[in-house]
Amino acid sequence: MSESTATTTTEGTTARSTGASRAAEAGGVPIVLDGVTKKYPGTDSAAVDDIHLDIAPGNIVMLVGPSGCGKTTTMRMINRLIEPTSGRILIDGEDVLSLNDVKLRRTIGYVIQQIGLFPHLTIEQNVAMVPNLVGWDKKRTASRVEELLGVVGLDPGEFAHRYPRQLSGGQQQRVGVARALAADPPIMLMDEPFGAVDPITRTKLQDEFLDLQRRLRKTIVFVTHDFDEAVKMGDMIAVLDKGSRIAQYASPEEILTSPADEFVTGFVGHGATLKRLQLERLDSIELKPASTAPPGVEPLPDRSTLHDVLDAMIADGQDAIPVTRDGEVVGTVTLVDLLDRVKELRAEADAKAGTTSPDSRPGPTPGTTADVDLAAGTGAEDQR
Amino acid sequence: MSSVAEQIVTPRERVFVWRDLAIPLLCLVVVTAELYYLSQAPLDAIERDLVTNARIWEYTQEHIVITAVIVVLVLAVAVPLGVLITRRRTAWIAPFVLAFGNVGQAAPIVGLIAIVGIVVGVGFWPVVLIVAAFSMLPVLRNTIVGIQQVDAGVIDAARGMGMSPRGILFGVELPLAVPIIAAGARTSLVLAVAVVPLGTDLDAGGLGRIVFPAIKLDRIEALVAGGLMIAVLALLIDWLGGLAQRALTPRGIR
Amino acid sequence: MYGLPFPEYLSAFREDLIGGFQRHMLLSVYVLVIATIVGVVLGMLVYRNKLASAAAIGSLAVWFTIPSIALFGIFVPIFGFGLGTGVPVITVYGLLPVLRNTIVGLNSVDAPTLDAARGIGMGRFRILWQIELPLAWPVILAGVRVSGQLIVGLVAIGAYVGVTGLGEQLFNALVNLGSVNTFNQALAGTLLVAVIALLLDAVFVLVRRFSTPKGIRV
Repeated sequence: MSESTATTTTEGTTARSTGASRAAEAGGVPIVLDGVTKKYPGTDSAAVDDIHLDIAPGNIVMLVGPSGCGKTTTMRMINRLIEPTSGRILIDGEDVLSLNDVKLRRTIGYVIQQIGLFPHLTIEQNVAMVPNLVGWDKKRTASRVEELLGVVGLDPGEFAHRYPRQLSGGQQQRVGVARALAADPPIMLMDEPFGAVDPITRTKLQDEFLDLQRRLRKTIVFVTHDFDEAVKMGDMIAVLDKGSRIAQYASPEEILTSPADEFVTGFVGHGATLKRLQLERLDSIELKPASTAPPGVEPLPDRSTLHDVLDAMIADGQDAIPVTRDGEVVGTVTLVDLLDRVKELRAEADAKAGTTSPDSRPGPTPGTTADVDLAAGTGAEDQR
Repeated sequence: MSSVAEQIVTPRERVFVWRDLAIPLLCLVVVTAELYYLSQAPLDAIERDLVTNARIWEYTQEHIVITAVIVVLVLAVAVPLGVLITRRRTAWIAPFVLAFGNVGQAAPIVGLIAIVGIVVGVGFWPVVLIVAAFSMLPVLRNTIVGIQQVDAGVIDAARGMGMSPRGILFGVELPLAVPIIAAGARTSLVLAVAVVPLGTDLDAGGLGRIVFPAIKLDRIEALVAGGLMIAVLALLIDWLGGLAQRALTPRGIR
Repeated sequence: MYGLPFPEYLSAFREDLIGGFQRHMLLSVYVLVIATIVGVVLGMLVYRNKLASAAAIGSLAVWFTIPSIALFGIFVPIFGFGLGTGVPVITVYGLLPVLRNTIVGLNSVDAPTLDAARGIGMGRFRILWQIELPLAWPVILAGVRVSGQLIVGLVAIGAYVGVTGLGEQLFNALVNLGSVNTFNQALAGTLLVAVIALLLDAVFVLVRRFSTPKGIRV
């Protein structure tokens, strides 16, 4: 077990580099929210209360919380659709309030739940909107539109000249994403962008978007009320509570294993441990020899998450499942080993709860066993 | 009048369909029949003079011109006013403008024309101005409703991506409001056609010049002829308005 | 043409004006009642049939497009001057808003509600009477209100073919432009007709308040 831990630790450190070298490869810029508050006149409580958020470039930060917690308001202050009552918002070091608001928004990609495609314009014209606003020449815009439609999975030849009402909800939202990416902004704001489509399409869109982000590495602020989506998509998660304050800002693993307070625990809900298993891969468990594999049982690839393994065990009624790598059976995973791993994770979590402060700092503390979590976390993401 | 939503033509891809010719054909038949009847009917000298083809044609042209001027005026004033009412900073004018419009509807147009005729004088412009004022409300109301019904998500996306307020007005709100504004303009058009004859005594011109003398001189044939011509004119102008409404609707939402 | 100062004019011609006011108001209400009854009944007959509804509304819409002056003139040879022509023509005009709103209103009850009603064993007529009509009532009333305004204005215009009411004052002023008191006539007529229109409208606001079933009162 310890050997594999050591291996994964090395992997972990190389796979997920520190913030600085990340920035170099990132297509995004850092965002800082410093004491941001929004209070509407005539109301007692703040819509957004003293938010401090350090968003590293190239990260997807999920804003989650119950309705009314201010997550959408917070996001909309970044592109100044709403002006903060106090506090500063810095994009790449510059205070957004010092910039022209209309021009600022042209440098930020904006995707909303209602999609908001212009019904009277073709798909092509929709996607070309921001490049036109910032004055690209026609040729460059045209080729960019074609490129982006391909990137979001829509054949330009077929879709460029159609109108939004001729597309399904999923297709429309793909166009919405393409439109937001058109001028290649370093930051994107996404407000429940996949909420208006059916669950199957939503999963597909999420997976494809994660693929895209792996290449583009933009800084993304993503609002959702769905905690599972937050766990799946986020590099970091900021949980906002009913008082519109940040209850916890940490990686998904950390929130699942050590929720900062009762609110976060309640918000995460039951099944936190099961959710945690989605972030772990089989390569974090020592496998029993292949010979002990029960015959006639469907094997699983070693890239599978522990969640998939447990699911298969329950479905097949087996307590042992053969594991393959590159098509060949290399070992067996047993239920007992899986449960042992869970125990290990809990022990690590408890240990961390003793050493880290309640308001978690962004990023892991290097050198601790948290690296293992990180490696597994990266693995789970890369699996898609 | 009709509620805004009911005025929208049914969505259709193509602007012109063969079925559309029904109304113009009907009008053509009616006019031909009437003109033929008039040429055959036993009319006395006065009546015959009242309904010569030349007169009918001349008065029809006058009528069209007056109507056109009125509608252009209405659009030029009511649309910008409607837009201003939907902008937060100038929305305070709403009660004044709408009150003016609503009073215009409650007061009888005949009375308004008479008052204008007495106070201002007779002629082309007094009639045009008062009828224009009277016909503002449909276009004003439809402009407001048309802009307000633009999907909030589309507006938010437009703002969020960095379109300037003016860009949003002219690039998103107005294009999407055109069908509804056009419906209002169509109502105003028909209203103008109907009301212009009432201004006959103010010497503005139009087919009223057949109808009112006919009443005063008790020449029923001429009265009916004049009435039919006005009816046909109204139907044709409404038909053209419908075509224009459909043609002006952006393809994406037709 | 200005003649007497307005207040003096009002008292001098008080009887004529009051007479005209009453006639105009009564005629308007009379026509409105007929238009409402015919419109609602017709609506109840056709609302469930799409074709019939479209045909009914379509033909009325053509009528509606034609200016009232034209229709008054066209029907004079058939019905003669005065109320004979005035009442039928104005009534048909008043039908369209009522009919259209009746059809739209009765059809606005949503499918699940209707389904539930049929499911518990309510007959067609009972459904119409106890469910569709009450729910459609605000919409129908709105249509009747529009018709009312329309009719008041049309009664004024109808004066030119002899429909009695305040319109007579107005057309008098119009055709005698320049004579004494025409301004007073025009002003008095205009104001009084406006008063009728506003009164009628106010009555509707009250009627709506007191007759809309509590559950759907907005």
